[in-house]
Amino acid sequence: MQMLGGLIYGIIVFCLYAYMFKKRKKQASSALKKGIVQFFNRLPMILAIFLLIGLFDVFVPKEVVSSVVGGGRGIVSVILSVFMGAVMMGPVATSYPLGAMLLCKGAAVSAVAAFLYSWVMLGVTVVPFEISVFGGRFALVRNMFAFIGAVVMGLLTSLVLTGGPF
Amino acid sequence: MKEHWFEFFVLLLYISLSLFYPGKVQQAFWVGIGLFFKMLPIFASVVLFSTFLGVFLSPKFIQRFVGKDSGIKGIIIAVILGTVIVGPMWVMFPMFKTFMEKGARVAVVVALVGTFAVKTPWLPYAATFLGWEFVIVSVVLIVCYAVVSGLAMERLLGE
Repeated sequence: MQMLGGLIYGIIVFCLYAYMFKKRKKQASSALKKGIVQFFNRLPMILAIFLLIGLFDVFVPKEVVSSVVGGGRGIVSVILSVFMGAVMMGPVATSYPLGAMLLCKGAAVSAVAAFLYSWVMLGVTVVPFEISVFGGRFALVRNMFAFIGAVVMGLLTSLVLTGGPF
Repeated sequence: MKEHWFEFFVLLLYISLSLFYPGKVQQAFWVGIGLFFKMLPIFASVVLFSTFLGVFLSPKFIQRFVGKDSGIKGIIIAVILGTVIVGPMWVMFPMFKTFMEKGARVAVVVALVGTFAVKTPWLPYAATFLGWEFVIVSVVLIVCYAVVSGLAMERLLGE
């Protein structure tokens, strides 16, 4: 199933390129070149991410995860996850396997969904930059909405998938 | 050196941990390598798709769709565009700011920012870890919330 998903994805990307190579050859080849360069540039980082996740898998015991962000802790685990996601930096490539690993180790679905949303939408370290671009008012309101969104998203995702909010 | 601090950090972690727990570290290494090779084809697709979108979806192209009088159509298009933009969020801020200065609706920009969490090129990658069920539910929720919060923020910020 997983292999199939990857294969279909590969075919779609291939078709997109094939189509654009016919229509706008120059742009398509520059996209391809950029893609290949980026792939090799990012390869060491991806390897490092997965090696780190391997460590996490082997060294962090299940009890620790479920006692911090497990379903038994209710809303506390969700809010804690939002803060964790906001502090975390780095590419999204890390967040999905980490989220899956947390789920395996007994984290609540609501906590993981909130964590993933917050990872992308909230960034403690980016706030000053956001203020400098948009101004304080916009930045404050947007971050507030993103925070609420992460909590709501966590609860609703869990409600749909497991039938309960935590 | 500075741009590879993360890789060095992981390497150091491995070396220092293997002094105390050689067996466990070896186990962790094989888990990581297994995942790495499993994800490699999808990762290649993600990167190629991202650069493809980067070239063909220029800010100028997006600009055409997010004008002040774009109404509900503008929001729908913003949602679609937001899901396919890739890259770290802070890189997008100046671009979004430009849209606003050039007369885009606040709701449209917020919907763009809000659906940014979907990251379409990454979805097949996310699904291999979390399953399609999880991924689809979150995508639907993210899109709904982006539209609602966009309209709410527009009210709140006035204009």
